Amino acid sequence: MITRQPFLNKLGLILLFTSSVASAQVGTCPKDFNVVERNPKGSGFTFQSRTLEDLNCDDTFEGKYFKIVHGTNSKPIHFEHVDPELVKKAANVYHHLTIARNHWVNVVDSAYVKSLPQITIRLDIANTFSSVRHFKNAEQEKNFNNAWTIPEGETPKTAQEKLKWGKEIWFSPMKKLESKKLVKSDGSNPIHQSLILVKDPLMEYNKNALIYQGLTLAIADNFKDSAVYSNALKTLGAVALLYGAIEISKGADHWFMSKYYFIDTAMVPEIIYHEYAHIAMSDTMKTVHSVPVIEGMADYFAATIADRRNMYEKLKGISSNKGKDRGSKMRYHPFLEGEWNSTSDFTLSVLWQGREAFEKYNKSRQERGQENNVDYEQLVFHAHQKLDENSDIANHLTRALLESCRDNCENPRTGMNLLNQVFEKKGFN
Amino acid sequence: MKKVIMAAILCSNFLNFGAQAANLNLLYNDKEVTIAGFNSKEKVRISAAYQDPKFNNQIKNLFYQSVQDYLRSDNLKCEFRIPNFFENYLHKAKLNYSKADILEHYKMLRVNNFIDDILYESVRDITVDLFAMRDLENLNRTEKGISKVKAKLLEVNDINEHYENFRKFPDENSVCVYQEFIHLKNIIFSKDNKLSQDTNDFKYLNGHALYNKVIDDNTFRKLEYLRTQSTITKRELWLQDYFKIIFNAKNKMIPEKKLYVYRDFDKENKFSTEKASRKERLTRRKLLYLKYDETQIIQLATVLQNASRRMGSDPDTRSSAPAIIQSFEVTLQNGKRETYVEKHELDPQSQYVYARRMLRKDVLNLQMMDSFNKLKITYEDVVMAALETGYINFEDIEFVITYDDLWNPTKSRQQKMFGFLFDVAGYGSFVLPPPWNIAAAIALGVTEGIVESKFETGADHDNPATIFE
Repeated sequence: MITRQPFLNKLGLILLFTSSVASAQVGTCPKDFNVVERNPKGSGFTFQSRTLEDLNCDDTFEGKYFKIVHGTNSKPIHFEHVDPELVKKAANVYHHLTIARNHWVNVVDSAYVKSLPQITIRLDIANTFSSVRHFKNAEQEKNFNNAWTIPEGETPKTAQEKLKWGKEIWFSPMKKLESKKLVKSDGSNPIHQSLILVKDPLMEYNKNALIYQGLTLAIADNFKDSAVYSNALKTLGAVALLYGAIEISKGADHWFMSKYYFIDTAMVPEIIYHEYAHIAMSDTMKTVHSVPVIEGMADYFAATIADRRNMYEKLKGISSNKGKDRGSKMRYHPFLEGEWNSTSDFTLSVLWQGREAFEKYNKSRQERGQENNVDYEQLVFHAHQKLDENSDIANHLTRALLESCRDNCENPRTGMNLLNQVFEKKGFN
Repeated sequence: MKKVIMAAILCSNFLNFGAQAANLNLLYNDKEVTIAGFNSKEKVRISAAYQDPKFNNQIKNLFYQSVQDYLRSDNLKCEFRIPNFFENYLHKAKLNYSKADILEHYKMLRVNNFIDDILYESVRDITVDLFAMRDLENLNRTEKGISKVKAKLLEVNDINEHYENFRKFPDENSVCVYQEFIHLKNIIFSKDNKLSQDTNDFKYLNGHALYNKVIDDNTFRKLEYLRTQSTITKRELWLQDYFKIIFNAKNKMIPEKKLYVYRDFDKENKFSTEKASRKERLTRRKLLYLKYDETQIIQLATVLQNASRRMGSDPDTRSSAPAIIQSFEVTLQNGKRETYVEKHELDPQSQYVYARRMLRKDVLNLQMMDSFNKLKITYEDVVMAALETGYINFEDIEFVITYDDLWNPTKSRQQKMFGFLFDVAGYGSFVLPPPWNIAAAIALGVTEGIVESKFETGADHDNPATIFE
């Protein structure tokens, strides 16, 4: 068959035009869904109608930037999925991820986030991650009440089934667990903490009292019958009582926690922002480990979007989580560097205290007709570029922040000194 | 570090304002935010009276030219030359040049920051003296000397020798009034043959010198004026010393990378114009000028520069993380020796603390130097010197001033009061009978714990991972 070249060219152009029109139409089907909006304070929330942007026009939760799938599936969840709860979750995740992405693109102005291809979000996935197979068999290990970000990867060359996957966010199913079985009481309760607080002054008092009584002993006629003797016994009794109460109260943690622990991570907005922050910072901070610096940085960016003091706190019927306090007064201890402490709110509170200090300081500069010394959001963002998954808080995070200020602050000396003051307040020295 | 200090000293010594034209822009006030010489109402009045910037600039140029002429003259102790030159320049420019006019011009110069408080107050006082001298010159009055002989006083003071340079009143060319007056004041002995602290001795000798015709009526009047009414006896800073600091230390250490340009001078930090202490009548800047010379000021500022470099916050310096290095030579069981080196790199907060500790040590080292003998260096002097040399700017002060909190923590009045109360109550509870003593101790313990936790700062916290705190 002889085909004329001009005809082929025309056909090519027509095909190109139709495909581009089709692809343009894909991003132009916004749709309204109910999503979770937290009340400004407390554990209350409401479902409010929000428009999901950039959705493809195929009635699924797939858009230009996100594809929401169920479990290990590869197809996006359909709007008419049989499980309405899953649709609700998909809409919620899609909406809050869009908020998070917009923040990183428009406020943080991250070139890396702008360049990211579509990412896959997996809901109700109980499997754990395998760096060589993508999913571990569900029978091997199951995950509940959790969310995490996984790095891109592929199966080894030797594997029979060739698989390749990009960056993904996984939200595991919710499961009610009895708190008593999960937590070993270690004295993290107000009674124990209060007794610890008064222990030192009380011991000091009793020590002084014993010295005082010891002095009066010298002038007592009869040691055993004297008031001095009975007073000393009473003092020692009080000391014994105090130590007893401290030991007993150590086991009282369960009195102060919810009976059940559960969390539907896909329904909690701050968790969604947090997981997206991991994606946004994955250019330098690989998401393979859960370390305090990486988690704290993600917490910080999530907190700037959510703008709540208590992050990830309890949400009626959705989460019984304790949450993280961005204004935490906790001071530094090397134990906080441990991987087991990656859920601590310490790093978040360091970064947030820095934000508050710079806000105040920038305001005083404005009053003197000066520009802001630095946009703190940019300072933290640039700091993440100097960090990786092996970074710690006391050495690397603090140095990254100082160096970021050196490079970005209008007046580095005052900016760096201000950071040092924040570090001092957080007990680094 | 010593090299840096020496380089700064040498630089400052080579800068001289004798033959060469001095950089008169350094007279511009960029250090004192508030005016101490007169009140804010006067400032408003002067601003209203001098609204023409062109005219103001003309006055400024004439004044600066007067200073330039004074600096080129051979004897800088002849301070009357400045108002003299200024008066002449005003006259030549056909501008008003009465005493009142000149004093008003000085105020305008100060309001517009063409000069600072120290220079304003100096030239104001010198001008007042100059015109007073002229007025006294024109008085045709015969003065009454003192004929009564105080034998002991005259025994230890040789009138002829003392008043030799006042036989003819100093002409401000070869002999300077202030210089001779201060010299005379300082060589008067009291009757017990010690340098006199009693102005009556001076008064008596003046009178006696007149009576014996060693000095004439005019000189007697002028000496009495200088003794009783002039501020010269209270002045501690000579213009010569002031200009040495201005031209050899002021703004000599501004970082290459200039970081801060003030937009609204009136809203900047007032540290330099605040009183140095509750008991001190001088501002911090004036105290700096009185206590130290230009070389010492550069040395003080260098201390802060070194601290800043150690912290890593010096604008022109890239600093590495400091490290402690120790080498060990170990003798093994087989008799061989093995060497290993341990290097401990400091974390950023330890680096910050280390730099502050070293700052304290550097101040101590300065204090030990001969040139600082009998001078008590305070940390505020160091900050003020750094501001004077331009090493730090107004914005930096707020942060830099807290460096000494490590060894000089500030305790609030409330903290002191609570500390005292708890001490008294604690000892008082010993005398209570059981079980009230225990109850009182618990209540006190709880209250003290709560109160102390309110006052606790991050610096009080014990970080077991740090070696500098």
